[in-house]
Amino acid sequence: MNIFLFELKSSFKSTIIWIFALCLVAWGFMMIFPAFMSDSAEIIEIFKNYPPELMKALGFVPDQFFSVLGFYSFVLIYIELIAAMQAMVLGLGTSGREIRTRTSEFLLTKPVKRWEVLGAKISAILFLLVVTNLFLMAASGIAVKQVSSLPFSLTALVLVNVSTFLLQLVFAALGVLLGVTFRKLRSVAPVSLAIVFGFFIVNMLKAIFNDAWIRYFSPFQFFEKYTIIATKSFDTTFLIYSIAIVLGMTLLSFVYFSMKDIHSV
Amino acid sequence: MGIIETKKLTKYYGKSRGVIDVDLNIEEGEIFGFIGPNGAGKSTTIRCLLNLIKPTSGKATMFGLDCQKDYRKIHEEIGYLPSEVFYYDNMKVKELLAYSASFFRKDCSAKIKELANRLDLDLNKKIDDLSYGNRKKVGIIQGLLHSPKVIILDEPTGGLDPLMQQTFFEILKEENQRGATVLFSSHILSEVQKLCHRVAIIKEGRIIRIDTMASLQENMYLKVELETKTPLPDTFLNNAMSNTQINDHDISFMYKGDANELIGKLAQLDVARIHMSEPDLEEIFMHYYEKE
Repeated sequence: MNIFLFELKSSFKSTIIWIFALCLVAWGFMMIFPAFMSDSAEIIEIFKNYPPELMKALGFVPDQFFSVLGFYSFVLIYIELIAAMQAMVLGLGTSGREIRTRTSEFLLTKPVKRWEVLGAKISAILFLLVVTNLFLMAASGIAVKQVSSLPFSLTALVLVNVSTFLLQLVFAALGVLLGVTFRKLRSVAPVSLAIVFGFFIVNMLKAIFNDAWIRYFSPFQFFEKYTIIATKSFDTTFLIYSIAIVLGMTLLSFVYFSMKDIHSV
Repeated sequence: MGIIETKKLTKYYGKSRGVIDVDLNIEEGEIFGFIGPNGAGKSTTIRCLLNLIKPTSGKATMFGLDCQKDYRKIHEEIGYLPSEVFYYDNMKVKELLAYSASFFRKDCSAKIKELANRLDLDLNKKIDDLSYGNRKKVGIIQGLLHSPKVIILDEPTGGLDPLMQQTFFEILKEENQRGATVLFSSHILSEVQKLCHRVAIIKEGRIIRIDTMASLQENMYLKVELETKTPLPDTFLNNAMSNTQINDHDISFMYKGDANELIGKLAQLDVARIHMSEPDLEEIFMHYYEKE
């Protein structure tokens, strides 16, 4: 419990900033929606002149763009970029905290099992991500209601938000695994930035080349928002796939962390 | 059975040697010195005891429990001070110590206060603002705040000024009188000599000698320097003496043998000045390191 609380405290301030940024971006983008709606015909005309590949890479689908949830899904690409960054920083920063601050000896000579150490850290990560997503869900709900008087499917909105949470879990699990396996970790942000942007580029490639297999390596594509909104359900294959890789990476982290040698610094 | 035991403890880092076949048996209540130069394997041995690294082969036990399997139970009763101490960012001393204490099921606040007083450490300062020596003090308190039964120190004195070192040694001696066993690794031999009852010398990953301080010194050469008023008779020298240097009336040699015989011989001389000394640990150590 003490490690859990310690990690919560250590990431408390940064989580508030992330929540604030996410909600602000979600809400701010949605505020543009009425303006887009009123000019929709002209915008569609303009976009017709752009190459369709570019439109795809940007995640722009005209028909859906001009419904409030469709617009939110478009906005969500950028929210998810921030959310993925938060999850990666949190995962890597929390599991790699002792490596970065060279405090492994301090922590691991205490009367606590190694799996308990990692378990407490992962619980703290989960807790903070759940809180973040509750705020984000509330913010997106409020924003959608604010800009559109038309009825919308609450289920679809919740599911879209849940997919963001699942995406965060994927990046957090990857962060935890890297944080556990790295031998040195100078600072968390550049590493996280590089990895998340790497996947974001893969995501764009997928959209352009449209090869089905790329999707398995592109967490940003695990859950296609427009499909979720249309069907009000997840793609089962990718739901199972994403949960499997989260559990797989977590299990691997536990195994590695329990066995690894802590070298002197 | 010893409170700390290793049997044929061996650790390789890939292909490079850590330690080979280390056998230690440290009794409860001892202050045990562990000496050797950098890279000889002191820290590797200690890190195996603490389950920070897994031995390649062999076994380490503390309190009769396996260091690799029952480490949580073992860690309840040990305090560890590494040579270099690092702490989390942005924490005050008291926050760090409270976090450290939260792992133990006892109230450590009185002990923290007492140690901080003796070591003259301000608990309200941020750790980032502390000097190297003061960080070391945080490490000392952190290692002792739960009154552990075994205290493991890995080259602990770096950064402490001589006065603080003395206070630190006093604290260690008190902890020892309270019943704590101390494993003290160092390459600074004078501090080991001051503190330890028994010493293990490690060289290139292997233990080459384990003995009490007293018998280490006993079996060694006696260093004799003297100045005589009359020339030295030829009969004086015998084969118990070595490294003999005669410079007019100044004579120096190393003596190994019966001390009474030496005194008998010296009594026949007309001595102006004499100085006899037991070798210090440094000389013993050099002796072992040069011999092989």
